[in-house]
Formats: sequence, structure tokens, C-alpha cells
Amino acid sequence: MSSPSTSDVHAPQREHGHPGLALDGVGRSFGAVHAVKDVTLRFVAGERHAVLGPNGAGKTTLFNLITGDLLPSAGQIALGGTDVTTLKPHIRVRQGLRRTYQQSQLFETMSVADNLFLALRGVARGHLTLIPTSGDQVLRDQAADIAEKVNLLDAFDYPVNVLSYGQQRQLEIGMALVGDPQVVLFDEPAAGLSPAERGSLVDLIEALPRTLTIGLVEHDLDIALRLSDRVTIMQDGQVMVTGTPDDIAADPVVQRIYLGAQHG
Amino acid sequence: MLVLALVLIPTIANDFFLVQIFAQAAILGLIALSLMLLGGWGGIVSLSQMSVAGLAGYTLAILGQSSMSQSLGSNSWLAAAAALAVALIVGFGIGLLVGRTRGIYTIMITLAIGVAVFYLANQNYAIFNGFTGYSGIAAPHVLGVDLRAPLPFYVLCVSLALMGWAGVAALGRSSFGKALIATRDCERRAAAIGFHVGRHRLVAHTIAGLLAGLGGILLVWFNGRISPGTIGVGPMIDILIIAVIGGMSRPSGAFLGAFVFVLLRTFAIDLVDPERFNTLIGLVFLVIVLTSRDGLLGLLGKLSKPERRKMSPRLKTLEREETS
Repeated sequence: MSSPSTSDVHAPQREHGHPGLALDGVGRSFGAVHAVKDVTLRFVAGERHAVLGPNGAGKTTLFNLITGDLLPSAGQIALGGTDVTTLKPHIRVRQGLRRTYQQSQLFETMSVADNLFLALRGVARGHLTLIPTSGDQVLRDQAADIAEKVNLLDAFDYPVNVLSYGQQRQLEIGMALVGDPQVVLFDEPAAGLSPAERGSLVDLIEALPRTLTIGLVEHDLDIALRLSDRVTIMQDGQVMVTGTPDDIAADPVVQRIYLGAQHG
Repeated sequence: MLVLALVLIPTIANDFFLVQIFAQAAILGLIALSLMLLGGWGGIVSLSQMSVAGLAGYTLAILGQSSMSQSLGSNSWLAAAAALAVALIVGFGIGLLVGRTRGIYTIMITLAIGVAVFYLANQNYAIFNGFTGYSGIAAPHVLGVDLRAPLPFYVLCVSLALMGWAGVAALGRSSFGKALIATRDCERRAAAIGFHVGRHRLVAHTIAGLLAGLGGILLVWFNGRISPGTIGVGPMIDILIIAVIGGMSRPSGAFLGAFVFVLLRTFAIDLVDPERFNTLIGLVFLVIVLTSRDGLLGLLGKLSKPERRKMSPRLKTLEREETS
């Protein structure tokens, strides 16, 4: 399970060690529609891997399958060498998997502090602690550190529903960086942001530790190519090609199916 | 200040007010508090909280002492402890049943549970004594104090209500409470950051069962009796009305709602025919729901700080960008 098939032409070189995340023949159908079909992919540990493709290519469905929001109709998913195919989302999180959502999924009535506190508590013990404890303050301090990292310290005590869209996106990312993540999946983190906000987002992701495995779905090709070590192009639920950003930018098939679809 | 007021009330209020208004409001408030916890924080609207209270009350009547021959006549405190245990188990059981449902389906299933409990009590004579139920149930003596007397009963009910209120308020600041609110705000994200949403809902149902059970025991001591009429659809809906009138965002709303409800029910008789009480409470309900998003708590909030708003961080950022 932990080693990719040698006949798989899309499998990347594995010089970085064991795969952080391995998908083997993963598929998901909704009735007659194959949203994701026979996808075999490696997110090698410590690698930044972008998944690109036109709308409806199955990128977000793929992320939902990895996180357990959806269960695959076929195939297997392994995280750090452990089979997680049928595990519930909250179990996968405890094994080091984090994600952000294309549309922010935040606790709207709560403060930034509470959102981050909960994200930290979610990967720690004490879910069913029924009274406030002294340990809460430790997590609260950690929440402030993360808020600083994603430039939200000014808004720390404000409820999420008064934040700007950009700030909500920052919080969305902050909540995925808590604890000790092994693999973080960013689902269109730059969607809807202004150019300035995009710049600081790219800086933020670039500054993340290189030990972190990153999966990235992004429509902005420049951002995707700049941030990633490896790029996979999907179309119609299938992997078309995987390669380095330079290979991908030069690939005529990519020009046709992806750039053509975007710009033409 | 509230505690001080509650301590001073017996010096100015007569027995009727102590028991019929304050003690009754504390009791109904405790049951509504269980719905506030489930509905306000968990987003789970359960209509069967009165049934949980009723089953605790029946347990007390059956195991403890009453004027009915079916009662087993054991010690009142033991019977009360057993009643709480039953409420806990029933709360847990309802949580298991409705755990996977959401919104309107939860309401429908808990309504069905409530109606089923009502008919069970109404038609079963061996255990529930059918239509008649149990009467002649009195609060026990403790350390020589007769809890039946107005002042001790007032102290008992108000102390337990305060404890319930403080307990739920602390729960709201705890990791469990915050996570419960998180499952209401965005269930998907709550799971995506590592919370077992189903388990949180189940624990919420169980704690709510305990609160409702406490209210149920006091309700039986207050009325001196319990019958299917105590747990019919009318009383089930009353709890929902109390919770909504008071406001579901904070535990104090349940008691505020109960106080207003009890005042209206007690004194409406002077203003309108007793049969018109439902029309009156319906009108009050409409006015409050239409003018406030969070019942009386929302209205009080508006009155205490009209249009006072913190500057949003969005404006703060804009301001900083302009000055830099």
C-alpha cells in the first residue's frame, strides 16, 4: 500500500521518502456521473503538489475523498502509510490531515479566538471537558500565535461574521495549520481575493515549513506554478498528466486542455 | 445582584408569589434550560424535554410515596435519585434515536416520542395508573425542615435553578460547550477539525435529560401529583414557547421566559377568560418573535446598548491602510 506501482507512469520520483499521502485507483460516482475516476496519485512527504484542471474536473471531489467528507466508490487512500479509506473525517484529522474549504466553513457566531481555540482542541485531548479549565489558556495562547501567523491578531476577539472576506480566508487557513499537521490540503485558497491579498497569501504558504506536505487546488495558474514542486492536471475526473511546473507549463496537452479551457 | 434579589424576595413576597410565581418559574425554567442547551447551542430542537421531565416525575411517584397503592413507598431521596438516573438514560436514549436526524426531522421524531410517552402513560394502568396518574406526592423533610412549606420550597427550587443556570453557563465556556455551538454553526467544519459531532450531540442530550429530570422532580413536588395531562402536547409546546420567548442564546433566557410565562398564565385570568390564555400567550409569542431575534434576551440587549457597535476589523484595516 505504501509503495506505488512501478508500472504507473504518473508516479513521481520518491526521493523525498515515504509518501505523505497515497491514492490508488480512487473513484467516486454520483449515479451515472464519474466525478473522480481511477485516480492514482502520490503526495510525497514534504512536497508541494498542485492539482489543476478546468471546472468540474473533480479536484474538490478528490479533496473531499482524501479528507473523508465523501467515501470513495473504489480504490484506496493511505495517509503516512496507513490505510484511511473508510475512516471518518475527524479520525483523519487526528492523524495529521488538515484542509481548507473553497467556500469558508467557519463558526460564524464565534470569535476568531474561539475558532482557532476549537481547531486546537479538536486535535488535542479533552473534547468532552464540561467546565472551563486552566489548560484552555495554553490553547488560547497557541491560538494567538496562529492568529499572528495569519495576520489576524488585530481581529482576535471579533466574531467571524464581522470580518472581511479576505480575513475569513486567512482564518480558514489558520484553522488548517493548528497542531502538528502532516498534510494540508488548500482548496482554492486565493479564490475571491484582491491581488494584494493574493500576494500575502502566497508569502504565507511559501513560508510554511518544508516538512509539511501540501496539496493545492488553485485556479490561478501563476500562483499554482509558483507554489508547487509538482503539478497534476485533471480532466473529467481523471489524471491527465503529472510533472514539474516547468514540464507542465511547456506541455502541449496542458496548453490545450487547461489553458485552452481557461483562456479560450 | 440577582442572588441578592432572590434572597430578599422572601422578605417582601407572600407565600403565593414565592411558590406559584417564583418556584414555578424556576421549575419550568429548568426544563426550558434543557431545551435551551439543545436548541440554542446544539441547534437540536427537541419537543420531548417535557416527556423526559415527566418520566422522571413518574419514577419519583412510582418508587416514592403517594396516596396511590401502586407506589412502592421507598425513601423520597432515593426515589429522586432514581428519577434523575431515569432522566439521564431517557435523554441518552432520545439522543441515540435522533442523533442522525437534523432540523424538521428531529422536531417530528421528538414530537412523536412525546406523544408516545403521553399515550403510554394514559393507557397503561399497571405502571402509570392511566388517566388518573399519581397524587398525594409531597416533598420530603430534610434536617427537620419541611420542604412542602412555601419558603423552604422556594429556596429549594431557586437554588437548584441557580445551580442549573451556573452549570450550563460554565458548560458554555468549556471546550465541550464551545464545540457544541461549533457543531451548530458548521457541522462539517467541526468534524474537519477533529470533533466527533455525533458524540457531542449525544452528550448534550444526556445533560439536557438530567436538567429536565431535575425540573420534573420539582414539578411533581410542586403539583403534588402527576398525570398524563402534565406531559401532553400542550405542556410540551409550552416548554418550546418559554425557551423561545426568553431567548435561546444564553441560559438566563430560559428563566426569563419561564417567569414571563408564569406571570401571564397566573394573571391572565384577571384580564381574559382562562380559555383565552393560549391566544394571549400566542400573541405575546408573535410580538416577541417578530421584534427580536433572540426573545426577551434580545430585546433587553437592544435596550441596554442601543446601536452601540464595536468598530469592525474590516474598517480598522481600511483605516490603517489609509493612514499608512
